[in-house]
Amino acid sequence: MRLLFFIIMLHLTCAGPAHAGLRVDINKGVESAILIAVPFAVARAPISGTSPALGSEIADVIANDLASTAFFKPIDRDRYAMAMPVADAETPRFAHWRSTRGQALVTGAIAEVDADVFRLECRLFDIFSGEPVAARNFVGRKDQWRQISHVCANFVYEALVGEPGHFDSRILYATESGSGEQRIRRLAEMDYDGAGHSYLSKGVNMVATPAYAPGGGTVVHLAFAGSAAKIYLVNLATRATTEIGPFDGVAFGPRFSPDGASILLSIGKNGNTDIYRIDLASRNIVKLTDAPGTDTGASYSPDGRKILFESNRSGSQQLYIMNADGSEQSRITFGKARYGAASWSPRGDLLAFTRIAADVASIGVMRSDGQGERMLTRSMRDESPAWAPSGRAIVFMRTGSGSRAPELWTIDLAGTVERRLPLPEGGSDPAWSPSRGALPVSAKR
Amino acid sequence: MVAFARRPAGIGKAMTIIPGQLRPASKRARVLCASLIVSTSLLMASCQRSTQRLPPMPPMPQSTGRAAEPPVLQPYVVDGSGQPATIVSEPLDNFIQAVGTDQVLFDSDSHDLDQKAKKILDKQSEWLLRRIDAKIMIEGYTDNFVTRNYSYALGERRANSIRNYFVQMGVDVNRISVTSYGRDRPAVDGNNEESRSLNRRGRVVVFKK
Repeated sequence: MRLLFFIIMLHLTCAGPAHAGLRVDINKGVESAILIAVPFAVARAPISGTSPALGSEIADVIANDLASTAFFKPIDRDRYAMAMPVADAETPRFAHWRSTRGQALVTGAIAEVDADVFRLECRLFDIFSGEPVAARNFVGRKDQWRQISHVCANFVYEALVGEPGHFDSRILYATESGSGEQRIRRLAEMDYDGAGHSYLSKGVNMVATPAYAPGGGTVVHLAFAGSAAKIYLVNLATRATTEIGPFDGVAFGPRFSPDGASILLSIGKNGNTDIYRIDLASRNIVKLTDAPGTDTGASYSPDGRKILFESNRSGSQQLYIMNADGSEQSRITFGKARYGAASWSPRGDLLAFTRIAADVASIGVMRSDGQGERMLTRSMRDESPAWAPSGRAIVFMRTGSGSRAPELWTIDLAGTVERRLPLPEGGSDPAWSPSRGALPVSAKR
Repeated sequence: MVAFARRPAGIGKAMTIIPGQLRPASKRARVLCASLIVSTSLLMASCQRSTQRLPPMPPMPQSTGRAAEPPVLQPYVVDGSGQPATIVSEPLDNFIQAVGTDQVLFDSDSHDLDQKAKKILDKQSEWLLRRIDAKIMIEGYTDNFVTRNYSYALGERRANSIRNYFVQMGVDVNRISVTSYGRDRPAVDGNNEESRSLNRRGRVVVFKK
């Protein structure tokens, strides 16, 4: 059903490139956060088969999206009039909006297209200059109003930040319920903000470490079928499941290559775990590391030329980088702490990792040469970071004290906006999908 | 018995419907209905067959003077594919009674066997050398203070240490399989050092070929 989904985009007006006076300085982050007003979307006429509060629900999704970044600060709605005539969505009364001290204004107008489809007119204005910055119509099925709202938020984000947002993406993870050996871990997926949660497995097999294929339509994960750890591919549209393997040894840690043609995995045998690449078409398997001890946690750089992995060959778990063919393996983290569960930012500039020092596990980022380490979280047990497709946020797993089930949290790259995802039960091993994309052409990916 | 009562419990549990987990009730009902229909028709089919022609009798098991063994376990079911996975048949229930425990513990991030562990494995080896009909599955586990993939590797290292010890004691390597659950199936919940130390373990499960 998700694959059938696409949004038709129509240009209404487009005031050229992002307005010169209204632009996020991404280097300053919070300091330059834009104060943005997102009043309720107004309905041109009643829209059949939707909530009467659709206009406010859409505005809430958009405001929530923008507020999840350090670049935007939505203005408290108490500061402006709730009810807005439809005409104000097209030509706002800027004197009123200036009194809110806001800098940017997003208006929405919604209209019925047919029984199943509606239109969201998404407009962005510069309050100071009183000029339109960008505007676009998004058309889609009524039951996909959340996704359409996310796409409008992406549009606003890109107009002001200058790069694509990630608000239309999804998060895949393993649920966690039950205790001890009776633990149940199911494959589940949800929108990046926790809405639209669905289970993808029944919980017969214990699922771990799911990851998306580059297009987002297929996932790979580990599952314990009986006593054996097995690696499965799942087509998200058809739910068709294929096993990759069996392998000679204990195989785990599957991650796709950026071209989707192969998978990196770790195979443990005779007390020695090494990293392998398996070609999905031919099932040819190539061994990439040969050090005694544990080499695991492998993932590609976005250009597919390098592989990041963890190894205890130096005596403790540290991060290493090698070429895609396994050559030139070099250590990039040093010091007392252990480093693992690392992944490359989709932008290619940074690595996110889990650092375990003394009794504390936390999430940090560093440059891909191992320099410039910056810790993002300060809780006791944070681990398993995964990057948003924008490279501007990270989802991770947080475990509280005692025997509480682990939670999933997101944090922006500045480390300022931390949010707990509303899960039906515990969650672990999060993966963040590619952006689904708003244009029909991108649905072909 | 204890070891095997616990292992299949995980499987049985997975089949249990937990309130609120399967969201659409109608779907659940449909699944139940469907499985009822399938199992009913299977039953009918097998009844029909048995009235028509009886299958040959299996050979009588040799009496070994041991207590009756529990019934054959149901095969594990692979998600989605519907194919049975590893079938662990006929657990050997007197293993733990005979050797005291099926588990040994390890230090943090270590796969070294200490004296206490070796003593336990000595006893287990004796039993395994007597019972050459027993297949051996060694499971490696870790605490939850290691990253996930590293935990699978560490669990494999631990299971392999036990395997090497058995082989050194003369157990046929071909009888032994190794698996790792890493941090995924802790013996006890909790994040303190006491629970962690109980989760850094290797477990030996024996079953009939």
